[in-house]
Amino acid sequence: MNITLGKYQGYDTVYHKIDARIKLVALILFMVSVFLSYGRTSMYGSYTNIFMYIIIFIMMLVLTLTSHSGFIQLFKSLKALWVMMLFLLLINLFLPGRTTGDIAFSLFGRNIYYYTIINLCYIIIRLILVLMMTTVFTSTTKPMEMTSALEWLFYPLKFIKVPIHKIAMAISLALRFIPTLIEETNRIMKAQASRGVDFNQGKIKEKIKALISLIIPLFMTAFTTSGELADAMEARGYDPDRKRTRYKRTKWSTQDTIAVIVLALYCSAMIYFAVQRFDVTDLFPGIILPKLSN
Amino acid sequence: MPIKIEHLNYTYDIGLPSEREALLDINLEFKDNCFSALIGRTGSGKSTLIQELNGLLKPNSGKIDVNGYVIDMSLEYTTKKGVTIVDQKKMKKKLKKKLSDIKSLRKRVGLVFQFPEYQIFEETVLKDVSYGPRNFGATSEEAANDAKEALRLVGIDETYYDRSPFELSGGEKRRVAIAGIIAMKPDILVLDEPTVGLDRAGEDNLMALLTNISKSGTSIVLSTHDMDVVLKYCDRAIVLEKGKIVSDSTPLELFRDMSFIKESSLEPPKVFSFAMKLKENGLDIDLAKVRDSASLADEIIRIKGVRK
Repeated sequence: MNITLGKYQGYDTVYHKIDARIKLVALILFMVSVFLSYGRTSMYGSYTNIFMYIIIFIMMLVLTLTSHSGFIQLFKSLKALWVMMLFLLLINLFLPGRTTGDIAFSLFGRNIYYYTIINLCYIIIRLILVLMMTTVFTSTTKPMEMTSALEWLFYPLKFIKVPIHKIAMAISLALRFIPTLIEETNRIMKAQASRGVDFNQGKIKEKIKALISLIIPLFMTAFTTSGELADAMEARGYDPDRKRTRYKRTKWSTQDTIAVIVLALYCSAMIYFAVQRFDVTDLFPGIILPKLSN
Repeated sequence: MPIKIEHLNYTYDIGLPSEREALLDINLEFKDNCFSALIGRTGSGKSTLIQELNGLLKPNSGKIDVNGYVIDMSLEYTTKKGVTIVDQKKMKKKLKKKLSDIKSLRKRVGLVFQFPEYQIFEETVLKDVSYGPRNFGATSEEAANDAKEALRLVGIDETYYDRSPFELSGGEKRRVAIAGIIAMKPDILVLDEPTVGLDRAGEDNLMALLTNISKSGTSIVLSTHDMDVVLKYCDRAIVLEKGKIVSDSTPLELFRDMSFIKESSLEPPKVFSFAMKLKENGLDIDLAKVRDSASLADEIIRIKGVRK
């Protein structure tokens, strides 16, 4: 088993050095820009959206490639998402939705509209874009940096008495133990493989048994480790209600400033396009495109 | 059952920043009925080498031959420009065919991991031990018989059969886990640090058990950093350092070579150092006969004569 997607990769690029807080905010803003609706709600609306998606995709591609986030692994992992895509497809095709507009074709006595198909494409494209962004974020940010960034982001919640310190500790522990659990999984899988378990082939009943032989030991070790960890933390005087100091202090550098400026420019551009109802036909006046939706 | 390893290389995480060479050009041969020890510090490649032996890891290049079951990654050919490369496509095709049959290799080479008690998962001891044989196609009756025999061998009696393995003590759990591998009746038993975490008595028990198994015709390969175990039980000591074999001899030859021992910062068994000191001071001790404190005492008695 090889899990590389979303795992921190210790390359030395600019993205690794940028403050995790900026990256977190950037991730959120990128996602917002993906879910904005572009273009005038005219007959060419969907063209503008796709045009914007292509621009965002190219930017993400550059980000993924320059940050060594494993572009190939990303697309391999999309293969695992096909079940979800199929599910989305079925839901979108057969749930009663829009009943006006042009009918693309009929299936099992139901009319499928162009609108539905385009909508479905949007969802899948957005899913891929968001996945790309998250991969860049997680593979360039150490889990610990991620948690302090989250803690920083949640700071305002402190005023309504949300125990953000405890939440941040829980998150950081969970993140800390993901690699340990993966390692443990690999170890148990190997131990069971030497006992003749085949995790890849076999009938469903055998596969279930194989999984049980993996899950039970995994849970046993996870419970033991967490118990031991709690004891070790208490032995070193961990008190959840006390104020904590930070081991790592972050320093603001020039590249952080540049990152903020680039991010601000990107956001203003995207919001401008969305609010001003920029349309792709503005770029090519007089262009005639086939009508897709209304 | 002989094992032959030729020019084996293995690297973890190829192409990632965490890339790390674990084994470099390993050439090794295990003959029938051996009792060999792999010695080396943490990170020297012991565990990696052990996992190569039953196909859990596939070598990046090189060849392993386990009694006719060959994993050959040396499908190299030379291009027109004179560069030697491995034909990946051909290799994958060849391996795929081979790997569908990997169970037969795993049955022959029984691998006991470090802290094997973590592999236990069934509700009863007997069920857990018979899980291995069942996977290799034994009927439940045959599997139960094999399991009972293995449990008898490791010293777990009938009263334990229906107990939950999770209630047992640490040492008992380990013996049950090892029985789970022995029940598969492998031709060669490979153990990764089997004595770690056991007390002296538990260790002696386990090693006596391994000696018994070895006498019944099963080859044993174990990794350890306990030199007392190496001296007392093994007939061959292979020292690994940074993925390379730096010494391959009998324990006697290994511990005798003081300069090498110092160089590779191994700690020779206390009994052996003591015997060496005695010899330096004029006592004519046959070092080959010194395996533990009891045999050293016998040797001293032999030379000095017993006063009555």
